[in-house]
This record gives sequence, C-alpha cells and structure tokens, in this order.
Amino acid sequence: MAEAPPRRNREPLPLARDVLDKQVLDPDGCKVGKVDGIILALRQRRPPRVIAMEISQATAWRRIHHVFGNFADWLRTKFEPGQDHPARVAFEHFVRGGIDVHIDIPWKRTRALVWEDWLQERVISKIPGGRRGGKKD
Amino acid sequence: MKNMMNLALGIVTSIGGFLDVGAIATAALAGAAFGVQMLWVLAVGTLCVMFLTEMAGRLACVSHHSLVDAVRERCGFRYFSFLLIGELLVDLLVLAAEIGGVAVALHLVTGVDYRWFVPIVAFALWVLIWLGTFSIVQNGASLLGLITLSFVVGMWWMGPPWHEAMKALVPSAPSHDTAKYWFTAVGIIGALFEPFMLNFYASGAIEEKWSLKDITMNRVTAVLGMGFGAVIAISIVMLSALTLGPHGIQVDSYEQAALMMVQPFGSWGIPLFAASLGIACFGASLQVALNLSYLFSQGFGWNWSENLKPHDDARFAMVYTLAIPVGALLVVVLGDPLKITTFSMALNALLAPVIVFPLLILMNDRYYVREYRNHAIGNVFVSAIVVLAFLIAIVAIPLEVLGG
Amino acid sequence: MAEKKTECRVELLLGRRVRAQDGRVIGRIEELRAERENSYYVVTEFHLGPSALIEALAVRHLGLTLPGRVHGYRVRWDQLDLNDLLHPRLTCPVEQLERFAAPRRTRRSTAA
Repeated sequence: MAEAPPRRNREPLPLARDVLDKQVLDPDGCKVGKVDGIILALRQRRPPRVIAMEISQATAWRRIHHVFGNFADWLRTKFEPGQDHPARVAFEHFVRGGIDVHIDIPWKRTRALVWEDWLQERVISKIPGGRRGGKKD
Repeated sequence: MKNMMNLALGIVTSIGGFLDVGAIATAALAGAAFGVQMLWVLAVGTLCVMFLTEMAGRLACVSHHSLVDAVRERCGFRYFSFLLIGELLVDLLVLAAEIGGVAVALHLVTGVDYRWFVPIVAFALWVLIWLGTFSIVQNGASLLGLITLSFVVGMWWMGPPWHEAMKALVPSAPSHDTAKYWFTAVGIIGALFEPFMLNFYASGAIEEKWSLKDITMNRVTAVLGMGFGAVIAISIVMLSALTLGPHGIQVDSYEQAALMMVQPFGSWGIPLFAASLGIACFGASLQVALNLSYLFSQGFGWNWSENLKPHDDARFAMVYTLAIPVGALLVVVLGDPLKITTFSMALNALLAPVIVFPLLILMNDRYYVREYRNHAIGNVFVSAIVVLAFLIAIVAIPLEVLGG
Repeated sequence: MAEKKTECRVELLLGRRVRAQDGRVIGRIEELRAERENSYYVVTEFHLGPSALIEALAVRHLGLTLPGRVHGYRVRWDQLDLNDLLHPRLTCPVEQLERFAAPRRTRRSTAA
C-alpha cells in the first residue's frame, strides 16, 4: 500500500524574512533574545528539516566573520556560567513569525538568559536599589 | 485637557532632544564666525530632522518596535553590527562631550577647574538613570531645559536683524574661510542628525506606550518640538552674530561662547548661559547614556525599559553603568570639551546615513507600518535626505582636517 | 559546539552564490521558504537573485513597484545540491527553474 504524502500547510514561512534576526517572545511576552541562527537538518532525498533556532552572540558574530564567531565562542565557553553549548530553541516550539517570533515555552526553559541571571545575582543585586525587581515608582 | 498636557510635554521633550551641547556649540561658532549666513543650514537640517523624527515615532506607534530593533530585524545582523560599532563609538564621544558641557557650565559659575566636576556629574547621571523612571528622566530635564529660552529673550533684547536673517535662509557660499564654513555646516547638520536622537525618540514612544491613536500627536510633537528647538538654535546663531562677531570673538572655548549673554543680561549673562548649557547638556547626556543601553538591548533582544528596576533588566542597566564612567574618562583624557564636541558632531554626520537609509525601507514595509506607509512624496524626501546624508558623510572628515 | 555534518545554518547559506551545472553563477540565495509538514517545518524552496532580495527587503521605490520583469529564480529543495555548503550547485538545468518577477502594485492607503 503506497504511503500517503505528508500533510503540508501550504502557507509558506520565509525563514530569512520572518524568523531570522527577529525578537523571540515567550507566552508571557518576555523577551528571550533575537534569533541569531536557524539550524537545518539535511536529509537524504527529503527536504531539509528546520530543527532549531539559536540565540547566541557567537552565532551572530560568526555571520560577520568566523574569527569574530570563534572569539565570541571562546568567551562563551570560558565565562558563560553552566553552559557548554549555545542556547537553542527546538523549532517544534515555534508558534508564529513576522515582526516577532513567538514560542510556546517560558523563557526559563530556553536557557538563553544565563547572563541576565548571573548579572542579576552577582552584580546588580550588590548595588543599592538593585536587589528587587518590578516597576520603578 | 490631558491630551493638551501630553502634547505640551511632548513638545518640550523634543526641544530637549534637539538642543544639546552640539547644537549650542555649532550655533555659537557659526554666528561668531559667519554672522547669520548659516541660518539656511539650520533650516534645511531642521526640516530633515522633523521628517525623520516623525517617521521614527510612527514606526514605534504602529509596530511597537524601535528603530534599532527594526534595523536589526529588517536589515540583518551584518548591517546592524556596523551600526552598533559606529554608534557605540560616536555615542561615547557625544556622551563625553555632554558630560564635559555640564562640567564646563559648573566651572563657569564656580571658577573651579571643570575636570573636578566630571566624576560628580557622571555619578549624578548614573543615579538618576538607576533610580528614575523614564518620565522623570525625560520630562524633568526637559522642563528645566526651558531655561534655554533665555537665548530667545537675549536675541529679542538685542534687536534681531530680521531682514538679513530672512535673506540668510537662502543657501549661500561663504565670502571667507571656505573650509571652516563648510566644516561648520557639517557640524550643524551633525548636531541635528544625531543618530542617538532618532532611536531615543522611538524608544521613548515605546516606553510611553504610544499606539495608533498617538500617530497625530507624534506628528505634531515631532514638527513643533523640533521647530521650537530650531527657534532656540537660531536665536543662538543670531545672538552670537550680534554680540561676538562684531568684536572679533571667535568661539574657541565655552567661556568665549558665554560672552554672548553678557550684553543682553549684564551680570546675569554668564550664570544664565551656564544654566542653559548645563541643563541642556545634562538632559542630552541622560538621553545618550540611555540610548546606549537601548542600542545593545534592542539589537540583541534583551529585556529593556527605563521603567523597570535594574534587577529585571540587568544587561540593560549594566550598559549605561559601564558607559557613563567611560564617557567621563574620555572627557578627562581628551580634554577641551569644545573640541570633543565639534569632532563628535563630524562623526555624527559620518554615521547619519547608516541610520537614515533603513528608514527608507522600514517606512515602506507593510509588516512594520501597515497602512501607515510613506507616500511617494515622503519617499522622495527621505531619499533626498539619504543622498544628502551620504554626501555629508563623505566630506565630513576631510573638512574636519581642513577646517576644524 | 561542533555542528553535525548533516546540519547547516540558514544565516550562513544566505548570500551564497549558486552555480549552474556548467559552473555559471546564476544568483545568490536570498530566502528560504519552509512549509509545515505534519508537526515540523521543512524547507521547500530557495529564492535566488536580485528580485528575491527586493522581495526580502519589501522596498517599493518612490511609491511605485518595479515593472514586471524577470529578476530571480525559485529553486525547489531537490533542485539544489547542498553537499558542499560553501558552493551550492543546481541539480538540474537552469531552464527547469521557475522564474519570478517583482510583485504587482496594489491599491493601499498611506500616510505622510
């Protein structure tokens, strides 16, 4: 029995225009980062599959020149707390693109905000007025 | 009534965006050296800035994205990196110039070397941004900045040469010091086309939660605010032409520029000039420092808002916390705040096309501005501004060498 | 993190020159279009050439669209060989590619 062709939603998604470099927002509207890179899986005799969005300085700077990317990667491996690879969001969590990219997981699960957390804990909270969050009065 | 108040406030804050150390310095220089001859440069620059500011505000109202946000998203990281590095360097110099302006203003009233005031000014700047909301930062400085109306009063007191001023609105070639004339023209344009101002205006619109219903207010604010700012700058040119030029006083320092207020105001002249310079520069330095944080945060997609406590936008807060001491250090190391100012205005002119050109794309992009796209006439005008900006960028540095 | 050999990056593909089977450069990759296939997205076509860039920039010069002439190519995923990511090549003759022009002008209201 012949295999049914895969179901495709015919509305195409332009990856460069509507995904790359766009602001990533989680379900609460929190800014996670910009889509610095998009990873494709190349498959034999099948169309490439979009597998992940990458949120990483090294990925962004590598687009200028690999030297900058390698340097940013070195800084990341040396100084970024608790991460051995750049933050990736699996494309299964992509909801829609356009001006912003919306994902369906909270920012904590993306691990894209480690530097924000580190600065909050180690630097900002040590300065008077930096201990608590919320809106300024 | 509330709308009128908001409108009035918007106009006042736009004056603050227009008038800063660059505008004051270049206007004073122009008036002292060339009389009212360069008013046409101010007029052309103001018209351009009105259009650009309105567009930046419209972009923010419709898309809720700032200019830097949209440039990264629309033009890609490569283009953005060029803007990032250029604007970082230029804004740090401008920040140094503004901090220096405040320090010089304090020196004018106390007689103490301006360098002693630099760390104090830098600290005050940081505290205000760290603890203040966007409204306090923006509106507080701008309301105090109404003191710059003293330039207008001074000009009226001296009896402005209206006939010559009207004639000077027509472009003319210099009768002497050609290289200095065109360098000063580039400086005036650079003081008006400050890249930080456009993005700060758009970011401010987002901070204040402007939306589609504020599009008309944006237009009025941009036009009237820049217009009023231009009136003050024109007053400085004319006052300088009336009081400094006839005595052969070339503006080589802020102390010399301050003399323009002595004739109309007597012993109050220097304190008034110092207050105007100091408050205008302090307001502008708040904007530049914040804009550096906006630049990085919006470009890299970090959480940002001046209305959030630093705990909630740590990277945003770190940028201005690091930038302010660097700006202060530059003033002390480079010295001569007036030279820093004129050089940074030339660099502004160099960078202007990089931020103006994407506006041509963005204001025609239905994703960003939907049905509020530019008319054909608007596009022609922006294209002309882009060409003008490129031409000025090409000649900025050679003129700096020849005429600066 | 080292990339697997079967992975590639969209941001590094953009701008790459694509050569025909005879070695002639026929355009640059300006856009990738993906479509949803079951629960994930797959790349179905690549857009090459200057028209694709204009499409990506969405520029309407001076309020007018460019006249409808051929600017670029739509290349299906199976028409492009990505084994060498630095030098992508067509797997078919150029004549088999679909050409496209600039979009038609439409009435819309504007401001400013």
